[in-house]
Amino acid sequence: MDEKAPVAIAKKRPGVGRRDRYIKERKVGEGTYAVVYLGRQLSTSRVIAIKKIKVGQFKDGLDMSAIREIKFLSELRHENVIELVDVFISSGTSRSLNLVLEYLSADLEMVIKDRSIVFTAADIKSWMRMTIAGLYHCHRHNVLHRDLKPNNLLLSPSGHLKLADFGLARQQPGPYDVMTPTVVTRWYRAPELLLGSKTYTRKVDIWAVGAIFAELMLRTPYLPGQTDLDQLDLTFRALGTPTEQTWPGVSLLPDYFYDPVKTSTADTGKKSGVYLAPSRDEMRMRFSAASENALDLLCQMTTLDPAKRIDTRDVLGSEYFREYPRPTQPELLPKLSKRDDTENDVKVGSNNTGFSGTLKRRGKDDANSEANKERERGLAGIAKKLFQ
Amino acid sequence: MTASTDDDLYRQGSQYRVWSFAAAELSSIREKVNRHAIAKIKKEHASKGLDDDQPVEFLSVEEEQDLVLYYCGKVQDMAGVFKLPSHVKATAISYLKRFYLRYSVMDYHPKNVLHTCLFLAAKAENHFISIESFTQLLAKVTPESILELEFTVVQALSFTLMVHHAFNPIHGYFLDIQSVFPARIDEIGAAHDAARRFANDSLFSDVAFMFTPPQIALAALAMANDALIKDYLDVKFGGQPGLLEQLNTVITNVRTHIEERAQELAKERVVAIDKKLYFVRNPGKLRKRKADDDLSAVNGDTKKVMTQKVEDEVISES
Repeated sequence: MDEKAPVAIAKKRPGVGRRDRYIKERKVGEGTYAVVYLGRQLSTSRVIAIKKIKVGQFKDGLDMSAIREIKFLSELRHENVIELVDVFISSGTSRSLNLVLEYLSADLEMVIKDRSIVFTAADIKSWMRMTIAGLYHCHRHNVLHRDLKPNNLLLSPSGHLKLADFGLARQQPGPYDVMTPTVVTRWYRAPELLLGSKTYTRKVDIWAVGAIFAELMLRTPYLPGQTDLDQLDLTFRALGTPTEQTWPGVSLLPDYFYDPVKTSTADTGKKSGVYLAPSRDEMRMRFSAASENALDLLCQMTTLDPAKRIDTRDVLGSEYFREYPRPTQPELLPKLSKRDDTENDVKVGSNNTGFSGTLKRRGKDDANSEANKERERGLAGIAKKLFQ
Repeated sequence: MTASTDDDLYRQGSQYRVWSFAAAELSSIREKVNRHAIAKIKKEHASKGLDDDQPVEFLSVEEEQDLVLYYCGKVQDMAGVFKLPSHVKATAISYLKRFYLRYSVMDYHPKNVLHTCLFLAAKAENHFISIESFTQLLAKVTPESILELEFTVVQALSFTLMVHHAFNPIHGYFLDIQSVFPARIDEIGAAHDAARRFANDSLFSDVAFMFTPPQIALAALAMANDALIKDYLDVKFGGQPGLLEQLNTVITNVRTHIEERAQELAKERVVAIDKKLYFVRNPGKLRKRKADDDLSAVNGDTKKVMTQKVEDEVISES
């Protein structure tokens, strides 16, 4: 039919580029740049998610998020990274780009929020291990994820965790290139980003995983800033205000505001105050259930100075992963308690471009958003209590 | 955790999986693309009732290749207009070259495809240029003409947008060579700069289809300063004569390929190919030209006017 079908087809390995057939069974979500369907691969009957990229309404053609997702997911193949099964262009009245992704039913945020589930230290270690294994793979490929947060860590029905949503990912640039600091969802944003750095590294992802680690232990976000400025204040209040001594070069960052003259003249208000780094005892109090090795690792992942922050390889080799308890087998990890709606949830990641990623059963939406608001209101209180 | 090496990672990537070929494989793909296009166009001509008494001259594989490389040069010029960094330019050129392993220039004219490749490469490499600013600086290019080919291009690329170039490995060698010969810093700096230029030249050859970026980087450095690289490899691999010999063979091969394509194509050749292509794509015009030719026996100037018009159309981007 198609007169202009490509002549030579990629042949070395099945997967991306191969022609296969899929059926869309049900629309399960819609955002500004994509519609998600639950579907099936006809040759194997495998359940898959199809993310159909809307194209017509974007005057600049294929959206950057879509381009990044295709670009990186085609390269990154790992058991802890969401699998891009295929990409195809659907014909019909309007051609559109379709990403065929593996079917994932839940995300880590849903599990954290489910109050009926109790996490053991071994469960937390298992999720952490899978997250870091996936991230290590990205970093070895020189790819920065730049949007790690619990609802981008998806969970397969068998309990395996997968990094998803590569819509903000990029390669670590060479020495001659700069990057935008406005990446990563606020609560997981590293201090160098908050201070406007344009030459940051993969350590921004480590910080985010550190914040997720803390959240798994606390069962509530660790640093839930209300605004970007509040985020900076909260971060420094929790971990100390960085100085040239603790973080060489910090005062040269574009948005570094600390002015020693102004603040030394007395209490000029919290926003420009200098906070001390927390003591070990303070950290033990915050994370009362954490082992000493877990605390060590958390502190290394949330070290303010990115140059001193631990990297993925060293996280994998850390004592925390060697000591008991051993990580829980993925299959034995706690699952969401109310799973009668499993079939209706397809997760493909959060997508900052406005795509919500999932569509709850009708009727649950309102309740959920109300719960969210309440949760957020509550968080500010928790955070205050935590750091007073 | 599987203990995979960097080589394993590279082999998992699309540049190796989809876009690496032996020289013979590369030629056979191009021949197939060329044959396929000719068969298709012949069929089209036949369906339009254009018979064989005025046979169209189709492009050869070599002519296709030369034309693609000429337009790779155009990508380079255009990337300069937008002040895009080397790797974006290199990615755009790679897209164009990869596209023509799927299609013939007789299917899609490179003068159109190249804009889409550059626009897409800018997006894929994080140097987004809006379609307005993009088309503003280019004569005779509309947003529609670029966007309508975007799907065709990503599909022809098998949805693989990642391209690894020799620039990063050159920087890596640059750092490593410094640690081996700290006293030769000036020489090393000069070699680095020259090697980047050779890496750029390599875009006009097939080496990226046949060798890995670090291999190309090493060859580019050797082209820049043979003695330096010889000393460096002696220090690194002096104890492994087998490996050293292997590396030297790779360097020689890459170098030969790059140098083969170092010479710029003669403009006349490109114009001639492009003109031929014009008649392949517009066989009706050929018939007209034959008529004009006959006429010109009577009225000498007609042919000249016609030829001029064709040239205007085909090389309008120059």
